[in-house]
Amino acid sequence: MAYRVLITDDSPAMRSFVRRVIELSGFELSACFEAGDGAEALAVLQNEWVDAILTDINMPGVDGEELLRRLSADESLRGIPAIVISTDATENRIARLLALGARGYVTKPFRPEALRAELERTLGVPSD
Amino acid sequence: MTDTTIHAALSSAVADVLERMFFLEVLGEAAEPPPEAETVTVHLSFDGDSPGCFRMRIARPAVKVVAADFLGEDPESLTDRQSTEVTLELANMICGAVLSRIESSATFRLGTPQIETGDTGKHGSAEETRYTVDTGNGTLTVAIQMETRTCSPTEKYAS
Amino acid sequence: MADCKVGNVSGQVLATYALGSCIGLSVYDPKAVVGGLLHYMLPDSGIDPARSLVNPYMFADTGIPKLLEQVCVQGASRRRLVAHAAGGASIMDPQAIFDIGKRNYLALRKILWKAGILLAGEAVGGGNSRTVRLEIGSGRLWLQEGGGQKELVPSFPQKGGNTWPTGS
Repeated sequence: MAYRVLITDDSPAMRSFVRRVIELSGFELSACFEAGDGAEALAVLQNEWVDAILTDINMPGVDGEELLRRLSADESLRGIPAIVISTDATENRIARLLALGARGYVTKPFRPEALRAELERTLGVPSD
Repeated sequence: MTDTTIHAALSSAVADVLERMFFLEVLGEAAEPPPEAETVTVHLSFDGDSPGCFRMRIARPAVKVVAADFLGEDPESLTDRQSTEVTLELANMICGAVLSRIESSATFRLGTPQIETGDTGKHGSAEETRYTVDTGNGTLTVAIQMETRTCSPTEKYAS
Repeated sequence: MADCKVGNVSGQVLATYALGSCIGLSVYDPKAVVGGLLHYMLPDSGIDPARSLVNPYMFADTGIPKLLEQVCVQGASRRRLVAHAAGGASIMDPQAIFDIGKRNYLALRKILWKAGILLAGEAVGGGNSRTVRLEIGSGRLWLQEGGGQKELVPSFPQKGGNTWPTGS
């Protein structure tokens, strides 16, 4: 099975890192979209279906929390699992994101294996 | 908020970030390089319950090595742009990790990290807490200044 | 001590012993039924390049690429490799100013990341010496530590519930 993912982070370096982890975790990617903030992510999602969204929180413009809010408000988008990858590991933040429908959360800094575990928990172990 | 607490948060955050995502062992505090040393400096502000600013100063020879380790590439194959992007993200991650340690129940929001060009005169203020490590290819210094350190009610209205 | 074994015959068992601060790296391709086991002692051959020419398996940076090369020559595919690490213990030495076990482990992580391989599981750190056995037929990996033996299965959560947040 091939996967389509959307990686949202204002850091191109982090987007590269996350993409690499996804690929090394055995998820064959038929499409990997990248966005620099929530607005760009929503623009991608206007035209493309994805199997998962990985998103940072602290981004200029439409941030990760607002992105989650808009995803859950949209019937056609709310079913897409979102994994948050953020430096913010405060209790307040995590509770809010859970309430907004985030399916997974990885705190920066993270081991690649930790993101893989979250991907497998959300999407299942990738098939050959 | 004591200087010791912030210092401990800086050292723990730096070690955590460098070990987990850059596979670098930090051996303990090192001497800070002089202002004229060849370094790249990143600055970012944060706001929320305890606003302030964060700076990271990294030796130029360390930049490409650290970036290559993060991206899983050879240093020679990296562009300057890639090195810069990783350097900015390194500062972002360390700052976030420090703030999470200092204020676990507070809300904070990080600004966009920026490379400081030229001599901005910001070579350390008395209110900053600083910490330096040796990366093996040069030093990395982090510094944080938080408003609550100088603006707590007891300090403000003391004597 | 510093060595590398590769097997491609069902029934073979590769073993490496007395992993103190050293690292034992096991890789296994379940489809090709090929596995390898490397035991290295130090992170960086730069401290003794001449020695690394005589025994590349002594160092992480020369030994790991050799291990991968050898299993691939036997038919393994890098993308299919299931990798585990054991060792990297902190052996208390008053003369030492750094933790060689930890350095060995970080060197492993760095080299595997560059090689495009994530660890499926690990048993590292602490103060115990370890022995590892890899069964070529089944790919099962056995860990002996502190007088007991157990199978080293994926130790990063794979499926099912997980506590938030993860990062380790």
